Amino acid sequence: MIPPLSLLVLAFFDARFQSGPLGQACGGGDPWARALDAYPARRHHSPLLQPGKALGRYDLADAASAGRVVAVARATGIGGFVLDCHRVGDQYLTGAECLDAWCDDDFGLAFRWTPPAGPATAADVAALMAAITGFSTLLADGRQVLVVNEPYRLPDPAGTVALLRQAADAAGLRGLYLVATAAEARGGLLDAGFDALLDPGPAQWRSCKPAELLNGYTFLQAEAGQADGGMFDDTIMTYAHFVNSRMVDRPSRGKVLPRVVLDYADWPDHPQGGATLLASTSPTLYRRFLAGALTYVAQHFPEDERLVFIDSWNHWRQRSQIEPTTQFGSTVLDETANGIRQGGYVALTRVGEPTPGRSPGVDYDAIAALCRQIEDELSLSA
Amino acid sequence: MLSSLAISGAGVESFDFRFSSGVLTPNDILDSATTPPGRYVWEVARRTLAACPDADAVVVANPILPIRGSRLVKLALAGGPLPCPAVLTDEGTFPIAYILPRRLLEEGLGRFLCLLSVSRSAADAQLLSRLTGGGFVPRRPTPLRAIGTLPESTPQGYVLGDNLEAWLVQCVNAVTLMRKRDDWRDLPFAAHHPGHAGDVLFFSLASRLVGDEHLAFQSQVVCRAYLDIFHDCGNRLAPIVLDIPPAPRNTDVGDGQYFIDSLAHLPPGVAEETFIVFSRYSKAYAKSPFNLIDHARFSLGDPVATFADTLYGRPPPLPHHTAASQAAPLAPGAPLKVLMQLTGGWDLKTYPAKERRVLIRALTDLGCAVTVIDLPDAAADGATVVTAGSTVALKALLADHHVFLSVDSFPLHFASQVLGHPTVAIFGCTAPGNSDAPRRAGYRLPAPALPCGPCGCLDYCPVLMIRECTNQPRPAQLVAAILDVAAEVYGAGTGVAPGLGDAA
Repeated sequence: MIPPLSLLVLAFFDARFQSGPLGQACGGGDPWARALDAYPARRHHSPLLQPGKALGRYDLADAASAGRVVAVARATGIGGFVLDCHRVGDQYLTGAECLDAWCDDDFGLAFRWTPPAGPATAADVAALMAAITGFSTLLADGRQVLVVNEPYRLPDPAGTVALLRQAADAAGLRGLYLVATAAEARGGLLDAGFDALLDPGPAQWRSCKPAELLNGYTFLQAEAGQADGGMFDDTIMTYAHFVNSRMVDRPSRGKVLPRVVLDYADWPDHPQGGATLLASTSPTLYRRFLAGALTYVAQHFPEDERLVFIDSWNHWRQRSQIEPTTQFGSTVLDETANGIRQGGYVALTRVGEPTPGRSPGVDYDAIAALCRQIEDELSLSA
Repeated sequence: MLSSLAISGAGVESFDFRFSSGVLTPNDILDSATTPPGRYVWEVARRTLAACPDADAVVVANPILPIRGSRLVKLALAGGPLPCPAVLTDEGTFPIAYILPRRLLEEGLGRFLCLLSVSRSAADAQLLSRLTGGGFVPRRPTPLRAIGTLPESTPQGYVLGDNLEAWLVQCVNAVTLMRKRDDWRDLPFAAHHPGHAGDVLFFSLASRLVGDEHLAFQSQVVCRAYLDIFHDCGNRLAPIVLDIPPAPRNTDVGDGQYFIDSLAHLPPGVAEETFIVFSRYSKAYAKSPFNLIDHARFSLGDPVATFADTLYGRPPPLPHHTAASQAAPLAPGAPLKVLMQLTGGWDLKTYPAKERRVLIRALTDLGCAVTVIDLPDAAADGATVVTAGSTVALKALLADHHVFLSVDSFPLHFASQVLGHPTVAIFGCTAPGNSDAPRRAGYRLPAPALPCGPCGCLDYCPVLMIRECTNQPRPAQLVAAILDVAAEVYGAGTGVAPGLGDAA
């Protein structure tokens, strides 16, 4: 008998690629041109990729186009999209209405909210609830998933959480599963009432050292115009180091859900420098990153809370999209499907294994302290 | 990708199969590295004909080529009515697909397709000719431009190079044997999988798991150096002993070349009465998520068609099932005796020097008695150093210790999968799913977490460019796992708690 494993893969989704209300509110015109209209300014800036013919430059306001996008995501093994809540006047727009018709129990929607500066108000939170209510939503632990981006902007996290839960009750939701974007459970966010944390994005949390630490001579060269000064302004991380740093010693960070990233380059939004870039990216490593993340949540998270986030489905401007491209076809999408299948299989092979570090008869902290002490002694004697 | 066409009076139906990346459905076929491409021709033909009971014939694409079903239709139907049997080729002579009559499989001759060369249409046509009554088997060119030079390895995981020669040699030898012997249908099949230690163990366990209705092989070629493993693991095939050293662990001599060279050293008469199938690595095994025992089962004829059929879905019973029954009893107050194997088949498997010192000292501080196999410098940290040159010696050592800790190497698999000894497994640069044991009491696997693994490197880390793998569990994790296993198997009073209390 094979026990069921409720593993859910979600992908961050940009719903602004539409001529509908969200597209209009975000400036109208051609959203694809706006996203892709950027040209590398430095030699280490990889050009943005172009949508492949499988999905093309779709308009989500066109039901058939939205249906195709959801169908491709489903076929890949993705269980839902995470849509951003865009503040427009005194309301929020998500674009969920374009996708909702294609959702059901197997494919749903979650939302990401970036709190405004300053304390959240009841009116603001009520507007948020109005925007995320009434759709086929993704559930974790029986509650609707809401990701709170940049929670450090909240002056009173516990108060905001209470406000959100109150507003959810008032809106008739079955409760909220609140996920805060934070790297480790040491900042009190879980104590404040969040249900789980989520790895921040590459620009929010540089989890490994930059690939190139240039020396003084190179700095002088750049200043003299003999080398590319952009290397000093941007942060470039090697993909292999980046993915390893995201998975190394993960349990020690607490209840943090994995964010799997294929690529990242936000140079279009940092024309004067300060961009974050991943270098030497690899679909194979990405597949293993995804499979490893699934195995990890299967082993460390309670059933119904086993979520893995892919960043992203269609953030073309950050080069992180997994949608088919003109340049690489559906290679990445195929690797995504392979990673999901592989992770699911490996997780199944480990069913029945005790969760590491949770045996009652073994004092893990004492063992770790002993090993640290021996390490120190060996270092001193070396 | 693997594709086929079912040919019936009603028309042509195309099928696309996949080398499974984890899901097993009727269209996902277990990705087995120890399987020659011809085995996939057999499996695809079998599944296609099962899906189309009215089909008279099946066209199966060459597994080493990435041919989609839609492309196969265009290529196969480009030249009018299809002859059957036949070999379809590119515009030259490279085989791109095989047209097989249903009766070939119905007569139980499917296993002979394992012997296809997949690179020489003339040899393959000869083989098909013998299998279908000795008539002429045409080679029909298609409009596909010449395949040209093949890469050393393919995105589907095939390692070509000298494997192409090995597949060709097995095909030519088979045709020769069929010409000489009228009773060729009744001759035995031998899997050529002579080493190394762990691989012989996996094949041996696989031979026990394949049902009689699927087992296509009767014997296995094995190096004399590993014959004790062959027997001690209960291999149900007959051994054909190879009296030459195993292939070196580096890549100086490829599996294909070793296969060809070793044929001259088979015992007298074997070549004249046995079909020898190349069963070493045709593909890169780490690309597949499946256990090598399942790889071997597929090689031997078992379709392993669902998760429930895999090693993890249906763990085999251990010969002496109680985990603790193999080990010395642990008297109250007596020290926990821990045996360690910290070196593996190649350098990168070795548990790093600094970490192993911490590990040994921590266990010693906790009151454990530590014994380390084949690592003289461990004595400086308080361990007893021993050797275990045979399965008999290893068994004796295990019987004298309560818990075994090992890197991904033969002793780990022997202890955990054959003896059922209380074991903690260390995996770093290799994927646990390829060779760990099914979950059971008395087995722990602090799983490596980094996406860089499995890297496939032998002696240096390709990320950090150092000679150690950093994807290994930390010493504290291993100490905890050892105590955890001991508590589970021998009960709470393992004799280390006082030591731990002092240290803490």
